[in-house]
Amino acid sequence: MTRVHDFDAIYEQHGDQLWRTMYAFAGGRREIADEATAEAFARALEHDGTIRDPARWLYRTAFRVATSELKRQHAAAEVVEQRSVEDSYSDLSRSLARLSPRQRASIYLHYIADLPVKEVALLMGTSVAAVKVQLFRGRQELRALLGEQQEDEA
Amino acid sequence: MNERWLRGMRQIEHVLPSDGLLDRAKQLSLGHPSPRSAASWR
Repeated sequence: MTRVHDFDAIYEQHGDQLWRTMYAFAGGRREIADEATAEAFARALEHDGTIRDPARWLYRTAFRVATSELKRQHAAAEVVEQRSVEDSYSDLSRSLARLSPRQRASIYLHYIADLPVKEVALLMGTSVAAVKVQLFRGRQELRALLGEQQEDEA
Repeated sequence: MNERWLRGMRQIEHVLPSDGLLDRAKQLSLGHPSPRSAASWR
């Protein structure tokens, strides 16, 4: 079967960042990042001929898969989140725990992966204004968290 | 942005994706659940 897109090359170029975005979105839950990434690529392989922009398509599909998985596991989510990030990354765990999934993903894509807000919005399937709100609220949450930590340490 | 929590967030760049995700995707796209997916359904 002739393919329109070379998904090996696309995975090479975008796979790690897509997975880390899902990892942030899922609050450090590796199994959800794995599932969302693999499922997004599986669906992309099935819909190859109809996809114009594979990277954006993959991100949006992975967000849908991860969202559905988070909803499914919602009852246990908070407890798992605290324990799910690899033990050696405790600072990462603290940074992720306080934010909402979409705040975590937008902050990862904008501040860590260094993408412009417009691109973050396209990958997340939302508006530039919505991403700016998520970034603003995320910063506020973290400022509050750091304030609390400084009081604890005093 | 506050450097302290950004340092924490940057640790994410050291977390490695699981192996074999593209192979798993290829199996799924053929209608064959990978052993890991099949296990998660049980």
